[in-house]
Amino acid sequence: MPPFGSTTARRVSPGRPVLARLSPDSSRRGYHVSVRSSLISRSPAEIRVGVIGTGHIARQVHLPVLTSMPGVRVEWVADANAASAASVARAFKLRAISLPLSSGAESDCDVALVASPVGTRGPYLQHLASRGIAAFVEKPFARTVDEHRAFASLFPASRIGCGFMRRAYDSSKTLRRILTGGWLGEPTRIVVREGGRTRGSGTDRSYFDDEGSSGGILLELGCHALDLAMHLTGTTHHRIIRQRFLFDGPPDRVAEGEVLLFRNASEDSASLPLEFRFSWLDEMDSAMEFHFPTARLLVGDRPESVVRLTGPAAGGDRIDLPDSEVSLLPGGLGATTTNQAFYLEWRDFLDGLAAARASTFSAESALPVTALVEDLYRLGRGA
Amino acid sequence: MTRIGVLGANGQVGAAVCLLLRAHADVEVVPISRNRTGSAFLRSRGVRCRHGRVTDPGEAPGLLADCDVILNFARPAAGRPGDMRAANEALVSNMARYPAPGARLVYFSSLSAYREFRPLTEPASVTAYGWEKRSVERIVRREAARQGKEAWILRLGHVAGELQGISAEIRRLLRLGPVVIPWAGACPSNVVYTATIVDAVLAIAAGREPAGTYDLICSPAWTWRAVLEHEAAASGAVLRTEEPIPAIPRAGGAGRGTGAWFARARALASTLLAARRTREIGLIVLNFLSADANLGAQSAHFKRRARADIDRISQRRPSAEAFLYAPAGSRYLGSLRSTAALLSDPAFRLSGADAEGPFVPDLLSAS
Repeated sequence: MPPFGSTTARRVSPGRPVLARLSPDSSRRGYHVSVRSSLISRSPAEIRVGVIGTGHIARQVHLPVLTSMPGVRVEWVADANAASAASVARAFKLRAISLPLSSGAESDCDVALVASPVGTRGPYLQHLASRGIAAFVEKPFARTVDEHRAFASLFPASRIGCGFMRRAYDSSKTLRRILTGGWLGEPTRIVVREGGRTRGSGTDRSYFDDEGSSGGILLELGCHALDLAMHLTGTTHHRIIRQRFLFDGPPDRVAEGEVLLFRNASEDSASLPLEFRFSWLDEMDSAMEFHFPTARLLVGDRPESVVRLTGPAAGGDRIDLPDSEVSLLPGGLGATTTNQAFYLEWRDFLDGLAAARASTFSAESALPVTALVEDLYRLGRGA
Repeated sequence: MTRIGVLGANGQVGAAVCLLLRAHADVEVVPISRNRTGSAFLRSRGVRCRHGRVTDPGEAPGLLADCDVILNFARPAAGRPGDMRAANEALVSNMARYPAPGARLVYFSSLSAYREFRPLTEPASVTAYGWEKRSVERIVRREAARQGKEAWILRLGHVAGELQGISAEIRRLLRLGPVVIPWAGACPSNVVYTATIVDAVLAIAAGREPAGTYDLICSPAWTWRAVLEHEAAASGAVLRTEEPIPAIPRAGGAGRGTGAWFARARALASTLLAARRTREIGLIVLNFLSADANLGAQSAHFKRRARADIDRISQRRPSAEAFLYAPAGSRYLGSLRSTAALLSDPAFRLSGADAEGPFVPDLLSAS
């Protein structure tokens, strides 16, 4: 047989079968392995995906990922701005359809991504549910618990998901392994800081100014970190200790506070304090810290961030010394890029769909963070 | 009172300039932002802003008509080059058309407009960003001439100062120390502090500088060592530096001339020799050579691998690529105060930038 590393194989797309045959000039040296791109067996039926909302996140991440995923075919795109939908459809060589979605077969597919602003989703979800189409919704899932339950109840648990993609990060999976394994003992505190001074106003951010808009930094950004903290610790319930907002009209530009996290409704599990600050008015060293009796785990908010291990907090202040921490390099547990994170969340959701089981990214699993954000806003606005 | 409209006021440089201009009693600063998310930082620091799209001819008069000077720090956020070019055309066209006759137009370009504004280790070349800046400069000159207005084009170097990412990064490097910088930082930098930018704006507003295209760096140019010393003093850090490993040759050789071509040819040859196919052929050829030749080839291979491994673990790269940039530009404004003097002047230092307060009401439009 030829040495293992000396075949003439070409790179094969994932999922493509490899054809190995006796070459015409074969001899006692063995098989000449050649790889062909043509299939020798029919591939499984593709999942057809529709996309509602062709804004930044759909254009720059979801569509590139979906159109690159084996076994997935993007069937159509739609947007309240028909010109935007048409432009994106041309760029990705897809079909654009108009909104509102018609009751005909034009909008039929297996799954629809709902990436429109959170306040606009109700009619889309109702339509999708009526047509038996599963839905994968961009975060945040909903603004209130009532809205969350109303949306989620339209679908079986396996057919409605929410895209908190940080759960798919390699660093998140590393943290989860350490926490569930109890390798550093029980955490004593979580501290989260995230944000940054607003700079470019950006053409896609103008909807934040709309009166009917969802909210500000807590709903648009902070929910990511809060969801991750709750997901990693298995939190189901919370109690708010303090909160402070800086509102700029409707939207909040700063949200900070402290909550206690619990693993059940009766609050008889040990509580875990979570201290947070989200701000669009200050430069922030965005990070999440898990405090333990003798150590801390630190991680940034980017997919490529590594988990760092350092000593216990000294007087509550972080000390940035060059030799004060060690890095736990990515271990192949999850995503280290944004595209990988979105791919993994889609993969997990679609696998759950096929197996008729709720995925890691189920809408139900996002309910705790919806409840927390709603409660914080309720107190912050004095409602 | 001179009213200065600021496009791109929500950007890093624009925001700092707005806050610094606010300290000058003879100036009324009018930051202009497309939306309230962009202006939130300034408004939380007590700076009233106007909101609207200068690219929209229906909105531009209300934003610009009463301004005596227009500063353009804006870079459209469309992201796609074609869309950005169209946005720049509209922005500059309206920036020139709608202010009153006699208004002064100032466009903040970049030293990236020069092909030579690159690390010394790279050949001079056009970049998309540099091309974009030169392109917008041409639009500014054309539109200003069309509207009978004077225009100043200021090509900024690396912008440092309060609220600037470069200063924050330098202070982080100083804190973690030592800073790896070639030639002990003796090379002139292309740094310009926001205080000097404001000084330039005030000079133009006061009519002390003729219209034209200028390069804007510290006055006189600071070395990187001077920048590091200033940032260390300002942040209470101790300055420690180290030379890169391997050492970086001084300006004038890398990337240019016959030496550069020879270096590229050698690099290409090394790549070919290291290619897998070349190696496989070499292994086959060794079957027919002497034992000494085989041992010599093997020893050379082990030595190369050891050197590469040692280089990887012992190399010290410069802490910032900006340290390697050759000085660029040569045409400077004539009436500016020294940057060192400005940075000691309380009128050129931010106050209250850290204090977030209630959001102030919007500025009324011009019309």
